[in-house]
Amino acid sequence: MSDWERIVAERLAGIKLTDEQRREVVAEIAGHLEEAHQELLRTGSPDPAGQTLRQVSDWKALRRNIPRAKEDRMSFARKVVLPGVIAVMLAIAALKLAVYFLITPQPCEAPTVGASGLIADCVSILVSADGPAYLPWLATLPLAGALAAALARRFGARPAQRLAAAISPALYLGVDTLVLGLQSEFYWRVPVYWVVIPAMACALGAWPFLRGRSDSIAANTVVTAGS
Amino acid sequence: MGKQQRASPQIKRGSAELAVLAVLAEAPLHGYEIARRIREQSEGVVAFDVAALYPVLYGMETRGWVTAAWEETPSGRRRRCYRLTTDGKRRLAPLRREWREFFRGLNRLTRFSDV
Repeated sequence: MSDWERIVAERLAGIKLTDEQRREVVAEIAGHLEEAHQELLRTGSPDPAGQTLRQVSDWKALRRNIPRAKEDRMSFARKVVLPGVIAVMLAIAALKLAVYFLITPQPCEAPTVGASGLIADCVSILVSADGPAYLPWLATLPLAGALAAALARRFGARPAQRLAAAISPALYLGVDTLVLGLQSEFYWRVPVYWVVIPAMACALGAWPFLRGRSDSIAANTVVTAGS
Repeated sequence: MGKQQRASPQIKRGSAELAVLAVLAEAPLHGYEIARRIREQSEGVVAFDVAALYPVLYGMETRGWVTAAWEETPSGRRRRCYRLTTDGKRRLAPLRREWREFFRGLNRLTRFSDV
């Protein structure tokens, strides 16, 4: 590492980029400063090093603006929405499978007509947290959360974004619960069993993927031929 | 007054993009050379600080207006060379037109050309 690379690396410490992106940015800006320094030496500048450093008027702005510039407009969709939608689809598919295999449909009760109380061609499927499908379904959620967080990390998402993607199934169920709660009566057990506990299950699966930096292919807009 | 303050960063960004695209339209260049050419060709009127140049370059790369690749000079120094893409060329023409109109309007307004 050259002196200029060391200086640039120190001043850009903490920049929000992947390791590979940070290495490239440091190398490029250090190369720029090195060339400026060489030119100042050639032209007999009295303070070439100081003058070179003054070419970067605001390191803080540089540290802030480079990640913004490298973040493409579709990044949120790719980092959070796409893994989140996949997790939601997985969770819904798992719930449907659990219901299909573990819940026996019951004949409907006829609330207003008929003295017998039963209508032969109507069945109802009661999906509740006390039912047989809930726990097996809950057991699949860490997998959905893990997959979403792993995908989000691969696309360069920050830990908070990975967590948001992972708990998407619970967020989806939260909206569903809210709509149902507004349409009928609200029971406190419903959001606990269908939002809070699923969110915790998803987060549990996501946990190993919340630590560490984004994978190196994240937001890979940089062409690095020869590197 | 407030409007002027809001317009300023846009004007700065727009002019920076125009300057970079214009010099890259001549030849593929690395960051230092881009800054040097802009300074020389504008006779020192437009000068790029490193803190301004690289965010502009990276932003243009993200939008697909330029591509960049590491190249090695005969002396062994590695440089990241920027090339204008078709999208970048397509972007340059309207930018030139917009700025030409902008300066024409300013000239009419301030009668600079009569001075």
